[in-house]
Amino acid sequence: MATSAMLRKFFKNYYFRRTLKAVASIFVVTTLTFFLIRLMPGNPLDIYVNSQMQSLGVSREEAEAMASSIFQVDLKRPVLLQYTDYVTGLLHGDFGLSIVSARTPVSALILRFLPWTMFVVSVSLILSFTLGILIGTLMAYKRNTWVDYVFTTFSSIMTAIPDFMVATLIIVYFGVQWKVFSVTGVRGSLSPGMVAGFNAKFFIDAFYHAALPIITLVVCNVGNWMLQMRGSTMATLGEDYVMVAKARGLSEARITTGYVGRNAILPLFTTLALSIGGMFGGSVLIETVFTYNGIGMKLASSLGARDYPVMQAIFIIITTATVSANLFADFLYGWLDPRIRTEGR
Amino acid sequence: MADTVLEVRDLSLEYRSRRGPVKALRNVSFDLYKGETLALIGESGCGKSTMGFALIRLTPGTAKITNGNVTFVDGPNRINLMEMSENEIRRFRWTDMAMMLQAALNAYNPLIRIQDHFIDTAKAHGLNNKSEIIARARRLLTGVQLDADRVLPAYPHELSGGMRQRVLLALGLLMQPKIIILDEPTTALDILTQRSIIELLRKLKDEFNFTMIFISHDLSLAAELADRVATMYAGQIVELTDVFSAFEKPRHPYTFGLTRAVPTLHGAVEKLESIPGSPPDLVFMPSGCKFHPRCPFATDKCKEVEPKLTAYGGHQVACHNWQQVLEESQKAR
Repeated sequence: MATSAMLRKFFKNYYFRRTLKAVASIFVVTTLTFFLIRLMPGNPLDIYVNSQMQSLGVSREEAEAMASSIFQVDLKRPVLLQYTDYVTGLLHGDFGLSIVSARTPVSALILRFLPWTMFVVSVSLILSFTLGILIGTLMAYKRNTWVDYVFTTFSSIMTAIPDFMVATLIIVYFGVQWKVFSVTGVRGSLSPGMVAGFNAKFFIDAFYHAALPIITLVVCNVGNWMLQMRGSTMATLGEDYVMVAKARGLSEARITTGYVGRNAILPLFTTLALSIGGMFGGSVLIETVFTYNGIGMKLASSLGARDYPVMQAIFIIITTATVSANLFADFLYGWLDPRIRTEGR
Repeated sequence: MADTVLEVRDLSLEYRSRRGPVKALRNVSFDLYKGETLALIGESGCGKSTMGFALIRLTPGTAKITNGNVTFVDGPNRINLMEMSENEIRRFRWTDMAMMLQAALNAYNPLIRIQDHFIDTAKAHGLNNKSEIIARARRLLTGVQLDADRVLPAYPHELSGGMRQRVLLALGLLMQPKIIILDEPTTALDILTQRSIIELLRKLKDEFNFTMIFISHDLSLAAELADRVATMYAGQIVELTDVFSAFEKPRHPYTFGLTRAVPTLHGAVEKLESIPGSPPDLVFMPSGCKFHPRCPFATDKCKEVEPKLTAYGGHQVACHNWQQVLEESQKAR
């Protein structure tokens, strides 16, 4: 009796239910993408055969024979069966093998490329969020002065320009025209011969190669954070409790951080969570422009080759990043805002 | 005459607006006596709340104090608020003069506990001993008839409206201010809660001996709590007198009108009258007496010359025809 009551309580638990929903959405997206990518015109075999025929000048039969000896996946197998195979593998933590890079497990590819993307995305997110919060607060406090006008104009422009444009412009002007950096030197995620290790040399090199994607992402995203924080802070400044805090004689510093800042930041956390997923997806273009070896670039190349398992795995990662960021934001929000906390119980 | 604790002289305040300066306070002068309760009454938008802010040199939004002095008298010391530095005035607020805002319901930072509001306040005024602050808060909360154990660790949203108002009173008494300004202390509360807050205010006043200004549009509240009543109209005090005279022998047509707009227990229902028209635009004000477009006693003189607040044996009034008003008000009784 007691155990069933406990079980019932457990299933009614907000956190448990919220997590369950998150897992369900990841599963649904996985299923949808599995079928969607197979609906794209062309398949890995055709693309491989065509490229072999063109580059080696062999006949179609020869090329197909070569392909079948390399490709281990039976693409003629019914899609539904392929799907059940895939899901079974997935449940065992097996992402399958890459079709194009024969005999390479997808998980190995992911492990090779994902850390770089995570590095770039997290650094630029933290940078742009922090900068945006600080400048946005400043804008709200200095509203209707030149400080506000300058930053508002800047952020409107930066929010309007697509990030790959900024990336291209950086390469064209800073790299090619003014030669601020060597275009070939910054390619990739590490310089040739650099070994990963816990030393300053490695970190400096990693940052050197990640700098351009990070700068691009920060420049393109900071404007959005600034405007949001400006609006949110201005709304909070009009709240009665801020006026009461002033009447209570609290110091300006305490009011700005503990009363205005804390309340103004709250609504931005939801957007922050959403943008994590968005930035993973958006890294495709940025990484391609800068030839940065992250999953974004890997996704672009596996899309071209119709490397289903690799694409599938990357989609799962992007989905998981988005969904778990949202989940995290919900839990964090409950922890930050006592009003939500009691409702969630 | 009792000792003065606050002298207000020619206090003027303007809000900036697109249409031009909004003159929310125009040369307001009055004395506040030690231990008294002064009620500031008037319609919405007449500058009552702005006055409360201006008295602690707090200017909401685009407001700016353009003229005048507020002098706080503490024994032999006379302190001009307008000459204080930012830090001095910050310290002055709440320790010497606590202004409690209209919106007690929304007076708390929703993200921190009630006890942190007490700690924040005390720390801002140089008290750092946490356990001493909590002990003091506990005593005050018990004084306003709240369960301190339940209230202190609670978040603002977990308290009812009446509880929040009581907590604000306790918070206001934390630094034992000499003057307390209450802006609409009972608005947004139900009638029973209003009653208990009024009784509580009386009790606290006996206990802590503070001087009180309360701002309200509720005349019955003024009649019940105040020693003196100041009527405000168009950013000025138009009548200032003891509570009995204000209600029984009003000399300003506006005060007269206000008292007739409130139902009394013994008065007949049809005697209720409202004041025609609406409060004046504070950007483009009428010439002469600002009340003349709504005034049944208005003469040509009223349209040209603005009357000054003048004392007639302790009864201050700003009206050219106050004698007629007094006569009329006596007939109406």
